[in-house]
Amino acid sequence: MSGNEDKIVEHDLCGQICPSTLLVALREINRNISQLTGGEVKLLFKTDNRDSINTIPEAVGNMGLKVNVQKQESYYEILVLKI
Amino acid sequence: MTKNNSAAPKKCIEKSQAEQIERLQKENEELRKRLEHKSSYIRTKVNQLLDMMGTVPLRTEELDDTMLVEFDPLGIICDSFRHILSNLHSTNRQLYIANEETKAIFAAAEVGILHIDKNKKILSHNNKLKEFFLPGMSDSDIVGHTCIDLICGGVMPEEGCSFSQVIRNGGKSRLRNWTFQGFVFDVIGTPILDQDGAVDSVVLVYHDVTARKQAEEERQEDLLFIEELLKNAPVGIRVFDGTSGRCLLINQVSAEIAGGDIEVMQQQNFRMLDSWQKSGLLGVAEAVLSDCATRMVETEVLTSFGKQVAVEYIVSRFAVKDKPHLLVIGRDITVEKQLEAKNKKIEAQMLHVQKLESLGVLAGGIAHDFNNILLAILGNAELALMRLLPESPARNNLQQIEKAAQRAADLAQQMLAYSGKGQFAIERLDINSMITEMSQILEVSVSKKAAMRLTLADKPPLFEGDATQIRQIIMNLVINASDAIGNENGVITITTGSMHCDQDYLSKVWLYDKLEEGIYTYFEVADTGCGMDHETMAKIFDPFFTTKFTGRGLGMAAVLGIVRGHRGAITVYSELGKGSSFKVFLPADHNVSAISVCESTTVKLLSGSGNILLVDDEETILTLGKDMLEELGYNVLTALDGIEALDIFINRKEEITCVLLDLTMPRLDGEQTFRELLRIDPNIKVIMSSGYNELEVARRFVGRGLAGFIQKPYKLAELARKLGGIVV
Repeated sequence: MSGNEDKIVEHDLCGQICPSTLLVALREINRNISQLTGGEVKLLFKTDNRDSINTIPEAVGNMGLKVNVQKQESYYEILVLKI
Repeated sequence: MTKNNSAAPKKCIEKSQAEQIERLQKENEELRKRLEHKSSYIRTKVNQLLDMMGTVPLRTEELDDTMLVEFDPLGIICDSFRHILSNLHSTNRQLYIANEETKAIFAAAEVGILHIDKNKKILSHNNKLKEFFLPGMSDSDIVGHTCIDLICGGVMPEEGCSFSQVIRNGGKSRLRNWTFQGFVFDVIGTPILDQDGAVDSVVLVYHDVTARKQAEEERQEDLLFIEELLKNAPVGIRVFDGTSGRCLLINQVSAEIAGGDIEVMQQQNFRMLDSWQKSGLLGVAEAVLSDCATRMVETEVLTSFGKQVAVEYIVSRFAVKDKPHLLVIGRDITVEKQLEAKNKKIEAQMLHVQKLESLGVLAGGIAHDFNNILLAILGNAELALMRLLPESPARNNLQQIEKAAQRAADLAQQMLAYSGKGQFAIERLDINSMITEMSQILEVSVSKKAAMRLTLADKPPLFEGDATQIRQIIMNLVINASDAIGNENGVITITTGSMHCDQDYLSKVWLYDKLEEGIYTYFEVADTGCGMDHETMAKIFDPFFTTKFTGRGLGMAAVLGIVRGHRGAITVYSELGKGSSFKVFLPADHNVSAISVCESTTVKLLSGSGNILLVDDEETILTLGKDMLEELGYNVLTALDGIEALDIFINRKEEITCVLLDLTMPRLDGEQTFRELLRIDPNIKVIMSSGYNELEVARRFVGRGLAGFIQKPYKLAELARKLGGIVV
């Protein structure tokens, strides 16, 4: 495992709602798609929009990436990474 | 430049600018109007795509038309779809490969594979499954039908159903030994789960284990066979690891031979066994492991469990997967060895008995003939002495002849005694009385350095025997004891008693000749003399074997003969330098009536009268006997055998007073002639005469009217006494 695999780029989407959150998340994923599929980077999206924890993971899953959703006290963390 | 001049242009400029702005605003408005439907189109398409992605449409307040262009959601979504499609292609490729793999696995698997849905409907299967359960059916006849109908005939199998187990447990199941038309299968069921984790369908794999099962059963039978073989083998069987020495296998007989516990012995290592080391078995085992040559050894082993045992071992080597093993087969031969030793001893005794019997027959035969000759010499010498004038110079010569012949007669008696066929005068005897009576003569017969001690039991049982011969035994043993003491100081002890002798005891005595168990009266003569070595002891009863310078070697032979004649036994114990003891056993409870026919020490020449029929096959005896009888005043008729005697007796029985009958004759012997004489005249008096007289023969005359017996060679006085007591 290289050191890059642990590189997590965080995006705070709190205050935004779908589809804005989805579009922002997709934009960031598109920008980093090669690094994500190569396992060089992980994206962490923070959102307080409940719909987003369904829409983002489904879209990400269809792209062949892995998604972990974890609920924090006042928001959700959606971690996108290589399968 | 002037101020006024500058204000006019300024106004002009401002007016122009306002007009321009207005114009631009108009243009902008027109442009906005013109693009409005395009933004709407973009928004609509974005919303469609967002809807596909499962989210709500874009809100205008969230993203106005301007931002719609700048943010470019359509581009974002397009890029995402590109990635999604890329992933989909990749997934499709993977699915294609997986499908091909599945088909290959289905085709290649030597197991039957069945894929059924939750309703047991067959979704797919491989050819092996069809081969197992549905031969000859087409795929279209199979797929879509339930397995319970097609395979199980619509009935739930008794052994259970792997599918049901999967449905029940929600996980993998295994059903062993499921049988179908004589075949045995192991069935493994695996669920295929849907996205929610529920069982969607089930894959069943059928592994035909019929052959394995059969092999297992055969192996089980083989194991059972080996187990029974080990259990019932009449020999001990052990197998050791040739490398480590560890015991791998042992049967119960092995444990019994060793006298140990089978579980303890299973833990043994043959290289660690002291018993193997000491018995030499370890060396044999290592040699066998080394050169593969099977060896057989007999050895005495003190086992690890303290049991002394004689064992015959067969040790061999065999290999399993190149690993050497040691096979040890043991047979307990302890009893066999003991019997062998006992048989050897009995065989040696039998050989000795046969040897002595042969010598006895020889000695008896010689003595018999010798006695006939001596009878002629003694009788004629005696008659000649009677007829010679007292002053005759030949008288001394005749007396010397008589003495020499008498010594020869004594020697013949010894030979007869050895043969066991000597003269028997059977009577009930008390051993204590006999020894007490003999004590004085014994005292004077032994060396002056030897002290005599008598240890006589209180009233030992009487026994039946010939007193003269028993005295001869005592005398011979005491004289030998004295000779053994020689010039040293010593003690001769005579002990009497009785004991019960069983077969075991009797088998260890001299000349065990199937003697009967029972009470035996014994007397023992022990001395503190020089003793004997084993070599001497083995020969002391052989005729003509002597350790004395002047000995004739007949004393102990005669003792043995007499003992045999009395159905007795003798034991000898001797230790070189310490002394010897001879113990003579005589049966105490014998019921043979005594024939006391020759007891008289008083010689009186009695004249008589009457007719005596003298029968003997020896002409010299006939001549001499006739002469002697006539000398005594009798008339004599002679016959050369029994037949001639019967002829004479039939014709002249009225005038015949007594018959003097030889026992051993050709044609018709003394016993047969006696029987015929009694048949003719039951009152006829018959005196039997013989050079020897067997005990058995003597016993045959008991109660049959025999008037008497006279031992050859007899003297005139004895003949007179015998006839005097019978012929009145």
